[in-house]
Amino acid sequence: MNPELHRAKAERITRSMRKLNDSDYETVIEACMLAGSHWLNFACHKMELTSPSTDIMHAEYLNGIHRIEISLRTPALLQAIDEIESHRAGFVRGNLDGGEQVAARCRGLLNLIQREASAAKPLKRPGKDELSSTSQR
Amino acid sequence: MFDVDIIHVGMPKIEKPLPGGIATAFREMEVLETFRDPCIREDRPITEDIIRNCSTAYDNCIAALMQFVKL
Repeated sequence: MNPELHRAKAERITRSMRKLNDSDYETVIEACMLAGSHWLNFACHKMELTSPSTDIMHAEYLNGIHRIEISLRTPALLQAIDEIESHRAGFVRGNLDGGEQVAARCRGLLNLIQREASAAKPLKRPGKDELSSTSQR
Repeated sequence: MFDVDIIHVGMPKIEKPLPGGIATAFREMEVLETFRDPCIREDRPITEDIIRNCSTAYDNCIAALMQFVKL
């Protein structure tokens, strides 16, 4: 899916989530994970790591090469989405205590993900002139 | 008896015959799962028909399961 559709989906899910309180923590955490996944795909497409025909469903399914490259280029984004995913099993599917605090934490992580993803851009490749001047040194 | 929760229909796979209400609930869950990835993760437009189908499937799923729940 193209980056702008990922952005639109992420913003739409975030708008829906804002109607909820942290006491609705299962849905807040799930929404953060879904919106975060869209921002992750937005960032990967913008960085030209993945093509719009190849979307990532969950950060945990990333291969080692992608994980290293994303970690190097936007370390906070991957850490944040990993943390949200780590809360999902215990608080959305399970019954751990403290869901409201985790929901608030996930909202903050989603804001961070949005900022990081919005700043994503392709790696600058050296132009012909830069390459030739480097080879002459 | 499984020592795990069901994450999605078919996960874990249950080989034994399902009681009627559970089989109905699974069928209705499959309706919801049909729309989930295309409409939430992908770009399939969410139409009034889809919303109605999902709402009906959810209501049917809950109704089928309520016979197993003591309130």
